[in-house]
Amino acid sequence: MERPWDAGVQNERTRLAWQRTTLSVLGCLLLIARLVADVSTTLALLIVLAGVVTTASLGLLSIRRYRRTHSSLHANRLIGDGWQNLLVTVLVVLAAAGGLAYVVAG
Amino acid sequence: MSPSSETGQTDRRWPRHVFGVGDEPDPRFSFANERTFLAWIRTALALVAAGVGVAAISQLNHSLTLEVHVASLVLVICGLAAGVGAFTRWARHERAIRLNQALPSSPLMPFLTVGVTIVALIAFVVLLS
Repeated sequence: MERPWDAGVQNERTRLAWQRTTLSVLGCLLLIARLVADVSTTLALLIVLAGVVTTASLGLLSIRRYRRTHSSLHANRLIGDGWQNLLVTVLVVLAAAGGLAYVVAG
Repeated sequence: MSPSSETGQTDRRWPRHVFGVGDEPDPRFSFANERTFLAWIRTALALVAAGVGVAAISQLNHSLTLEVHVASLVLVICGLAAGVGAFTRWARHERAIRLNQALPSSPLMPFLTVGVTIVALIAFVVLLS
């Protein structure tokens, strides 16, 4: 691996922020699944399965994003786009919708 | 150090209303904007988890009282607003950075402040009763 692009290791810090966020998404979805398990085991298992698959995908995308950004910075190419940001926003909206359904049903 | 906008690459980055305007900024500004977006996302998740947690804990002994129901709803709605607001805020700030403009203000922070204050007042009343 080449040396970091800058002394502030911005790309590496951003990758760690993505990892923290991915773990937070997983934790939130598992919490909601545990609460839903009292109502429906099948639905809870589906949420766990969907949560693990989406957060694993998000983790892999974060690694790819870091590597592509790293090489782009060293090659003086364009960096960044909003698709991954949109994906994590959609996950938060889904978690909030699940939470809202739980609170309203309670 | 920062990449030039004249790299010869075809720029297909999304959203176009952000990446289709202005000049390529110093990447450090974009990284900082992205980390702020992620911090807002984690805040949104914490608010959703708090709302669901309050509802779950209060149901251990009895059904949800009206004030706890309201507090849970406010927390989850604040989480939803923080999640959606995080993305729009990131896009507006990235656009402003590219256009070399001042960063726009956002109604997100006053909204969340009001929401969290309502929840704190409800918690105060519940603890006193």
